[in-house]
Amino acid sequence: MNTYTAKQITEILQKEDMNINLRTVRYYTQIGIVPTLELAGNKRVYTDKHLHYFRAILTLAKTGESLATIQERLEKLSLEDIKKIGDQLPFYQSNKILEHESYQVNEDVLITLSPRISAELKQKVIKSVSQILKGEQNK
Amino acid sequence: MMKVKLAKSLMENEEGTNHLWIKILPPVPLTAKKVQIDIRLPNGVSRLNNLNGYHEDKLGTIFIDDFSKGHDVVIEIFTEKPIPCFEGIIKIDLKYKDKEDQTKMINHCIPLIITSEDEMDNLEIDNEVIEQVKQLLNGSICNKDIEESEFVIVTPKIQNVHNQISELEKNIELILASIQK
Repeated sequence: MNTYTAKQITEILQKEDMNINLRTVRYYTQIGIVPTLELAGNKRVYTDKHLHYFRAILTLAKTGESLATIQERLEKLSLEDIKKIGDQLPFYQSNKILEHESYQVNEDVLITLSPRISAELKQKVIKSVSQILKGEQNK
Repeated sequence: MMKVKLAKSLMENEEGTNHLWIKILPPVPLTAKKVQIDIRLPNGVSRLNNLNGYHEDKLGTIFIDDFSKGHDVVIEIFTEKPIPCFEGIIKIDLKYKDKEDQTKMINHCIPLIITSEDEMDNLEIDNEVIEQVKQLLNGSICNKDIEESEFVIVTPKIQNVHNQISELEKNIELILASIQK
């Protein structure tokens, strides 16, 4: 089991471009937004579970929901689902929203492409995905 | 009168966060207009603008001219660089005008215990304050940098792509295929 201090948790999240500081990590822990810390010997430590919680909180925060609502939502989810929410955070970083373009192929499929992708390649990607989906629909 | 509480009984002397909750009570008329609140914090302790969105001037005086949002004011206080551990006092002055349009002032003091992180084991949390804080915070605002930065709403660019190849595209593909042959 990986264990971390509050400072290490903050550094990991900051390296992932997340806007959080040490005092916020501590405060969310103290007021019970993230699960109680684990005991390692006589020390209370953070684990990967806490990292997933922080990532999920920061992702849901992008929707503008209150901390109370976020906490309520997370309480109903499994750790696996909380991890999935946190994994989506990179898609909601402001630089990505500003630069990337999203193409809605259908109501189930959304393609997000960076500006580095050429116009020609964009068309190929969209067309390929469209055709795959069309093939699936015709099955 | 006012009721004042802190979210945490103790606050770290370095990188610590706490919330101050002020509840305005009678005899301050709860329909009063132009209520002003001034908060004086111990040295080394800073604060953000109130979470309720009441107007504040450059000196940090909070102006409440509409009680429709409730009679509570919540303010985030924090420490950044290490400061000495001590028991400080937060002083709150509340000014309002009574029915006779006379300015009245109420003062309130609350102790703030600043301690090192190692001494935080005896921390007590006030759930009534925390519930208010959780309702007012949106999960990302707890950060001075965010508070001072401009908030920009950007609408994501989404283009709809029909998952059907048009008749024209089909014809073009057929022509291209025949040329390649």
